[in-house]
Amino acid sequence: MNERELVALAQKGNKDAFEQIVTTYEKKIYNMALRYTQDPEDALDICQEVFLRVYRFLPRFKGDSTLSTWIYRITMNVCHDTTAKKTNIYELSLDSGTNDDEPTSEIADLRFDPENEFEKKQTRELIARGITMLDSDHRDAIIMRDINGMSYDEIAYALGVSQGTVKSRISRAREKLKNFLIKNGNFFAQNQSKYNED
Amino acid sequence: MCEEYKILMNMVIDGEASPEDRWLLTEHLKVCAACRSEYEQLQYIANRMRDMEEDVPADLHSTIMAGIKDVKPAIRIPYKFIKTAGIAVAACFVIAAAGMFLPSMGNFAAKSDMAAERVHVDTGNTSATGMASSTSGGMSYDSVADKSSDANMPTADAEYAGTTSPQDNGNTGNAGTTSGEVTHERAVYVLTCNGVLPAVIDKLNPSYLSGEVVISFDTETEMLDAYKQLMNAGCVQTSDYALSNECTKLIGSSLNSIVIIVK
Repeated sequence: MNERELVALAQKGNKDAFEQIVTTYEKKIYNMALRYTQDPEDALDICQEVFLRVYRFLPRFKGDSTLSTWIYRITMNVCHDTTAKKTNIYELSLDSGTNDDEPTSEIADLRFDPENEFEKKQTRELIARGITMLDSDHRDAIIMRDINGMSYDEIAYALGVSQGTVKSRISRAREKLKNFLIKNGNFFAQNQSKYNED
Repeated sequence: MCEEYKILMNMVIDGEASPEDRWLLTEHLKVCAACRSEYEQLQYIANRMRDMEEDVPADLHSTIMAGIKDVKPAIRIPYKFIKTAGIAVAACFVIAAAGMFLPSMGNFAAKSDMAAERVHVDTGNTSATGMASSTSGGMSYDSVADKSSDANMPTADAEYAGTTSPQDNGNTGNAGTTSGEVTHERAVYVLTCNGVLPAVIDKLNPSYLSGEVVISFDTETEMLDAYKQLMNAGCVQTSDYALSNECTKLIGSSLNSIVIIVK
C-alpha cells in the first residue's frame, strides 16, 4: 500500500492505517523535536501533540504537499509553541559575537579527529547546542534540511517562504554554527584536510 | 572567503546545485584556498548534523497512540460559503488598531515576519466600539496579512514579500489601506465567536470579506454546535480542502476551529 492509499484509509478513520503513519514518521518527528528543544521529555510531549493534531486534521489533508511536508510543518508549529513557553537564556548568543557573559563550552579545546568516535559524539553534542541558539527561522530551515533531509522546495513550501529565502537561511545557519564551533571547541584550527573525510 | 560563493557552497553540499554550478564551484575551489577551507568546514558540519539521529524512547509509540485513543478526527471542513445575501456593514467595519501583533497567533506570527491588525466589528449597531470585542452581539476579527512593510525584516528574507496569492481580494486590501501601514497580499480572518454565531453568519458574506475565515471556539462542543448551525442556515456546503500554510499556523494555536472559504 502506498502512502496515498494509507492516508485515504486513515482519513476514513482507520486507526491501523494511522498507526502505520505514526510508525513511519515518529522517529523523524522525535529527532526534529529533540534538536529543537534539547530536552527528551519535551521532545516526547511534542511528538504526542504533533500526532494528535495530525490525527485530528488529517481529514483536511488534500495532498497538495507531501504528507511528510505537512507533518513537518505541524511539528515546527508545535516546537514553536513549546519553546515559546520557556525562556531560552542562550537566545541571541550566536548573534552577539563578542558577548563575554555568554556561556562557554566545557569542551574547551576539542580537536577534530575523524577517527575518534568519542570526539565525533562531542561534536554532535556541541552542534546540538549550537542549533538551540540559532534564531527560529534559521533553526527551522537547518533542521528540516539536515535532520529531516527535506529538499529546498519542500522546506520553502512548509515554511511558506521562497526558495531563495531557504537558501539564505541555510547558509546563514551553517555559518553561525561554524562560528559557534570555532568559538567553543577550537574546531578547524588544525589539519584542515581531514574535515571532509565523509 | 568569497561571499558570492557562500550560498552556492551550501547548495552543492545539499545536492541542490545544477551540474553547471557544481562545476563552477569546483573550478573556484581549485584556485581559492580560503573558499576550499570554508567549503570543507561547512561540509563537515552538514555531515555531523546528518548523523545526529538518536534512538527514540521505548514508550514513544505507545504514548502517541494513547494520546489519540479517545480523540475523534475533525469534521471534514472547511466549507465553501455560498450565501449571497448581503447586509450593509461598511459603516461598522472599524479599524481599531493597525500594526498590532496578534496575541492569538502566539510566537509564530511574530517570528514569521507577519504583520497583523485587529479589526473589531459590532453587529449590534453601526457605530465604532473600539477595541473591546466582548460587547453583546459583537465579534472580533483578527486579519492577518501575509506581509507588511516590516522594517526589521532581514533583507535576505525579503523575497518572502513576493509570495502573493491568487486569492487576494479587495476587502482585505481596504483594511490595509486604512491602516496606512499594512499592504495586504492575502488575509486570513480569525473570528472569535463569543457565543453569537448568528452574528458571525451574517458577516460571512462575500460582499463583506472574502478569503479564509477561521472561527475559533473554546471547546469542541461549541465548535460542533456551530457547525450544525452553519449547515442549518444553508450557507455552507462541504468542499474538499487542504490546510493552507496560514491556516496551519492558526490551528497551531487552536484546535477547535472551523475554517471557511468565503468566495
